Amino acid sequence: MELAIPVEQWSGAVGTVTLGATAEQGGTRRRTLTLGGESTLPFLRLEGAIPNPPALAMEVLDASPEKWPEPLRAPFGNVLDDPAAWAVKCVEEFGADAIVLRLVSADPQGQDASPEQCAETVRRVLQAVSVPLIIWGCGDNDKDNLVMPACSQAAAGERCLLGTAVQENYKTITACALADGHLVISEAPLDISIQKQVNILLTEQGLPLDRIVMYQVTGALGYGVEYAYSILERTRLAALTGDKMLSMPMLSVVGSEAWKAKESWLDEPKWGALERRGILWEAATAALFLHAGSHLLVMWHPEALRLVRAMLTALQPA
Amino acid sequence: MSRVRVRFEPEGETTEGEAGALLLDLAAKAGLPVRSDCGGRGICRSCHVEVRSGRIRRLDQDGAEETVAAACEVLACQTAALTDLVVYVPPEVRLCPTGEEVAGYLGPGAAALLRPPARGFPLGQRLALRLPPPSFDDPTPDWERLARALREYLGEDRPLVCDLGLLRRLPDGLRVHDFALSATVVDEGDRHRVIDVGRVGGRAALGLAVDIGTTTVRVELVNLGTGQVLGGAAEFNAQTRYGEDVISRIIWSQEHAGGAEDLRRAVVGTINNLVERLLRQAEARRQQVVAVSVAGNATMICLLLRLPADTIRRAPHVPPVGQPPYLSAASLGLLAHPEAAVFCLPAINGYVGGDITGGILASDLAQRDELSLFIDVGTNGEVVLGNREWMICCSCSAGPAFEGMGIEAGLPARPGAIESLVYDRSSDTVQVRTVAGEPPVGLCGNGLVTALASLLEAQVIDRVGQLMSDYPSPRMRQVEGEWQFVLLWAEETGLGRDLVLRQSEIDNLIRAKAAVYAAVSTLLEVLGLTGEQIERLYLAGAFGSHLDVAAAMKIGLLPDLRPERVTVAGNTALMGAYLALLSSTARRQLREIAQATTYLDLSSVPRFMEEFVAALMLPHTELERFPSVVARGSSGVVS
Repeated sequence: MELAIPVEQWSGAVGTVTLGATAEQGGTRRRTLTLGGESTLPFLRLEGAIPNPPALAMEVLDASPEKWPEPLRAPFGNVLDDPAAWAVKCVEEFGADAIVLRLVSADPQGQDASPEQCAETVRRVLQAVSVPLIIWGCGDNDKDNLVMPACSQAAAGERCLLGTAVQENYKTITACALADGHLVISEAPLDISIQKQVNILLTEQGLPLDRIVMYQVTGALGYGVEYAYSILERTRLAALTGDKMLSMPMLSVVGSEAWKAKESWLDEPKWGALERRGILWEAATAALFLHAGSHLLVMWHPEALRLVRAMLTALQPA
Repeated sequence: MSRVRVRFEPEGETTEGEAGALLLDLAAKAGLPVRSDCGGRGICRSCHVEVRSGRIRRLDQDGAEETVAAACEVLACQTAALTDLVVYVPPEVRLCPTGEEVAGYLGPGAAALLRPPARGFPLGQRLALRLPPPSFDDPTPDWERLARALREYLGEDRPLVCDLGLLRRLPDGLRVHDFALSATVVDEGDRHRVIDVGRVGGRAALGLAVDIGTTTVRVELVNLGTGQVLGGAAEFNAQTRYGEDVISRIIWSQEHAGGAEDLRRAVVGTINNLVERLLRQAEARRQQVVAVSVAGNATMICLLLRLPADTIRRAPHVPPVGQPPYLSAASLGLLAHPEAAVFCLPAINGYVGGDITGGILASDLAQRDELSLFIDVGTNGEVVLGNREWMICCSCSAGPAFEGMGIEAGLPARPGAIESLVYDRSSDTVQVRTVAGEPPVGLCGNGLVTALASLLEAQVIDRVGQLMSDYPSPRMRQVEGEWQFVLLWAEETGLGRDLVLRQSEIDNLIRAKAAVYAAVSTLLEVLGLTGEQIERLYLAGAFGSHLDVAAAMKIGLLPDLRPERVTVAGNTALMGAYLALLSSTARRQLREIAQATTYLDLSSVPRFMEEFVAALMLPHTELERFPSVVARGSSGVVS
């Protein structure tokens, strides 16, 4: 007797978003990156098409990460105090699909770098690499509202992804994206309703659905990640059942979350070799978010990225 | 301790007290009670008054003493009078009568309960009797003689009782009137009690229908013979000074020595003030009031009866009593005939009280086939869903925002309160309508709802209620780090200062509306029903009776229903109390309703929190639940 495998027919699909613009499109990228577009659950090709595989971005900080543990610093050699060189290494040596430039230097509690200084870093990184760029503010709303317009202008036409828009602060970044042809990260505090609310606010500002990437602030493995999983999964299911306002591709921050976990850096021999622990923590967290439906991961350690890439290849149909 | 005299302006009401007494207490004593949203803790600043002369002590400034030279603004709860004072009480600070009561809705089934024979017995009645005088052939004693005649008259055989005082008065009473007399009888459920005898044709027997709201108390004076309402009056519940919601009052009653007695005295004082006023207007006497029916949530009933209310606050939230036995007015300290019967409408549980049972009865929800939704928006929002087959209810804490508390520009619906506000973006002007057409001094619940709807439509606020800081009008401004929008400029008000809505106050309103809507949507969700299946919506509460239904749907306070399905039912708690006063059938049905209604504890439903967050948008995160609002195009939604 033949076994009929039940196949779910979804009424909706995840929307597509393309990062980066080539010369013909008004930018200078040699590669663009398209996310989303699938009409099925992650890796479940049986029920629908998955036109674009998940992508792996690497994060570059514009201020040298003094507190990084040695196993995390080691692979980068001497580029950690040069964002452009760091970005080049990520792309050429480690195979990152995109670069996240995190403007930590702008933090008023820290270096308090000026908008002009940040914009200059953006220009340098754009010149150094040819993959799409994700420009991420320092997290201080008032400062980001000064920094983001300068950076957005410096990258005008490049179709960068700007981050992040939150419910309390979304207007400036949206206006930048609209003025300079960029995309926006819509951030929510691990809440599906608030995610949708931010998306609605962005679209009501005039930003089209195909210029929004969703981001739920999660923890890493061991830190309530089960709940994060279910939120991402439910968001994906909402898209597949036709909820346009939750149909955008999703981004997950893996590196900084995984390395925040003490399991990644605490010198505790009983927990296993310190050189591998953080890498595995990051890779496991990444694998989990991919299975939950995330489209774009922000990674830190090149070895973790390599492990995840291997997993994606293994799950790719022959 | 020396005495001080304090004169309150502009009325010039003067009161005396001991030196060191708080202005808050002195104002209440002078008959000019002021707001105290935080219960006298010096937090909310709602009791700010102006001292114009005299010497005061500032408790909020380490007890500093000062002699007032120029007018000085202080908090009434934090300022003690040391010498004679002159104090100005601004209009927005006053707790004062909220004006004439609006009649509530009565469904046809409920109205039928007012006609004999369906109605049975009123809670109290005066019966004219002619007894055969005693003789050697009929030597029945006086009491048994009266009882026999009454039983015959009433046509039933429940026991009749009376107290010693009546027995003592009875022999003379019968003989003075030649055995033709009127007897006042109250219905105590399983028995009747004779509380008075007098001449035939005396003054009518009267009853009180009382609705004890957490924020507002309303009383109607009713002729028990005719059912005619002789007058209605309302006033802020004086318990408000001990905390604005039920939980903070329960805490006060537990944590302060004599706290339960403070709360009891406060609400009894409020009721008695209203009764006194109504009796004066009707030229009636206290002795005529022989029956009292009281609707209120379980906490209000507990505090009236001075029962320990702590168990309501703690899981599993069991009240000390669902329905108290029939009590006497004297035992509660109510201004009425000492033996007047007091009936409390039965509660469904600790959070859904007799006010809601009364509303279910008055609206006929329990008698109809169609699926109905009953919403009472007060400090707590209660929601009942059901029909004649089944009823399920829940309660949510909406907070007192819609009753005008916790919002500086908020007011109850009294003269000068804005009941409708429309802002026009193109001309940057505001149109208001106020209660009694008086100069605007604040916004009542509906004023706030219409303001919110109008600001959303004009895109002064975004869909999550954030003020658009770049909005091109001088009305948008930042004060002490918080954005606010000027609704009316000082010269347009009766206040002499700008009337504003702050960001935090808008957030409060949105949380309140989200709590109410989420209670509705969670009930529907739990039962697997959708909003379209609701065939009738009864909107209860004094707030409900003034509500602009379209604006309420625009902000997502109410589900999006066709207007013809909405019945603005007004104060159904008071209507329930009125029915209970006049009909023993109603009293029985109230008990049946209380027993038949299932309670859903929203805190035990994980879904509620999600529904709440989703409802924090205007009108809602799921815009498709509000098709008519979206279709009206209140703003350009991309979908």
